[in-house]
Amino acid sequence: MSASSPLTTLALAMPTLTFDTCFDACSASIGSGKVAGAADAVAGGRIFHRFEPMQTGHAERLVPMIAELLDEAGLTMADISRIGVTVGPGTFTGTRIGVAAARAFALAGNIPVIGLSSLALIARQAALHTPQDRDICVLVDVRHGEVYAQTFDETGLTPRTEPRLLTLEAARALAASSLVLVVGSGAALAGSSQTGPGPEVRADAVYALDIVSRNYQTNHAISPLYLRAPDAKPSAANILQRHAAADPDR
Amino acid sequence: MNRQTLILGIETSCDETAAAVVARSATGSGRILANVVRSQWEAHRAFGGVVPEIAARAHAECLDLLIEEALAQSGCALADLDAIAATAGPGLVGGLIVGLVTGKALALAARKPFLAINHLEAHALTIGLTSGLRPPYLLLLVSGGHTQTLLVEGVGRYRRLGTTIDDALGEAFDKTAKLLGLGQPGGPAVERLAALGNAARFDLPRPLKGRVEPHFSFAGLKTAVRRQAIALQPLKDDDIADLCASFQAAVADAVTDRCARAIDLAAQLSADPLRHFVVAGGVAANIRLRADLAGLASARGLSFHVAPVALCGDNAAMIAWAGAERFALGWVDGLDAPVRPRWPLDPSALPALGSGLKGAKA
Repeated sequence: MSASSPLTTLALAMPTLTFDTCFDACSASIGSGKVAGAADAVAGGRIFHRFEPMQTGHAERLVPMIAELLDEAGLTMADISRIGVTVGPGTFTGTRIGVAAARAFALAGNIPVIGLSSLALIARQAALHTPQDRDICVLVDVRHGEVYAQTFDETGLTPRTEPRLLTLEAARALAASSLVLVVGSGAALAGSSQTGPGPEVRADAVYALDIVSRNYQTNHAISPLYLRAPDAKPSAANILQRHAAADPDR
Repeated sequence: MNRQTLILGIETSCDETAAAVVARSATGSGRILANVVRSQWEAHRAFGGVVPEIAARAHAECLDLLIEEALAQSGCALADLDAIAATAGPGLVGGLIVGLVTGKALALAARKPFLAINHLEAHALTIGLTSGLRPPYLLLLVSGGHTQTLLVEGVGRYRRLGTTIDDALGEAFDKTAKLLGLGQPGGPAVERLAALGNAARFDLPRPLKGRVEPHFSFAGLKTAVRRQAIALQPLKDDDIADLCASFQAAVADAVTDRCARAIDLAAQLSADPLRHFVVAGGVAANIRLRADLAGLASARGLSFHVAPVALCGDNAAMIAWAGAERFALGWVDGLDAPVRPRWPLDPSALPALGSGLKGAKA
């Protein structure tokens, strides 16, 4: 990971794997031991990390990426004691890729899985990059005049709302408040008039290590969090007239 | 390799979520240890067809549970397996991704080789699992998504002879059933009513019959059924049964004619005399079609083979078996194996007219 990372003194008692495929990047990281700052080893602790921007190709890249990290760390999946994965909201396909991989790892190794909101990951990144004292509102542009939205406290660790799908108008109303720091790809779209820094934060799994290190609650049956229904309309009724007595299931 | 190999198969290319464990002996015979399939028909019923996003969501909800169930039924742990095989295409991309990523993650975690399987190859090789038949043979694959004839020369060696230029045969059954207000899946519904009807009542077309190239077409037949049905409104029970019977007769007639051409072509192409004719895919369950094709095989001096009905539809035992056959040849794939929504078994085959700008899907 980069030397400028604000991740500090992360205590991961057990080797932990995190990954994210929810948006336009594929990222994964493995952390173990007590970690400070960049790739420095403190008390044997180390972080191994990949972050690759991509629109598509997560299904091809994610598992090899994790294999590379395991090799670098000198570990196998059997050594991993905990998994943190973003379960959405995100692109439908991307969300399923992360969840499918996590569920397969859990099945193979009986490894506890922590499912995280992708918006919580972005909020925590923002809090670590830009410490300040306002609530953090994450807005992610998902096109069609809508955003995914979730508000957290200033640490990014405590959600104030559930993740929601909002119209741009509703998002603008949120962003207009000077009491919140607005971050994410939807911040500019919502016309955020922040005076302070409102970085366009992209979800990066390495920060999920920080969240997982504080959260010992695992949810075994993780499922994708979609927020949007499938785009499907019931088919039109049969156009042919039937004789009153006709019964197709006679 | 002097012992049996154990392969886990995963299938998520359309609307069946499936997992299976298959054993292959050193001599090449196969045995199914577990074969679990969950159909999603109920989830798609209101939409009158498979909705890709609904299918993908359903796969993601239950695939790991089905794998767990298949392993438990087979008495195998992941550690006992020799390899893990998952369908990589052709099919609906959202579902394919769920199966492929699950298979890769299992392979990494269990430190097993991974195989990315072509769904059509799996259909093509199923007869080796169920009756031990080895290539070469002529295959007719008829399912909801595919209609083609293939000369199967060996594992990994396929020549596509004919393919559909519009609808797949299973699709034509489904659309006919939908038009007539019957239940889905359409194949069994149409077949059930056809048994009660008069197949001679309507003179329906036999598309492409007599053409030299052994391709298939069903769109015109479907339109002819629609035209007759509209003219008869309001439809009585007898009308519907007679339409079903006439449609099925036209299908059987056209497919048999097209397969006769494929047999001629296969005989020209293969070095050795053609000896076997195999039918696979969900529509192979249709009794009238089966009878006509058995008659054709007999008239041409070919042995006739159809996989058991349970293995004609989409399933994971065939994926595991294709994986076993490839693994026996020392073939494995990387964890970066791509999803391939379009994946023709015979890349050298010319696209048939009407297969679209991107060329053959399968």
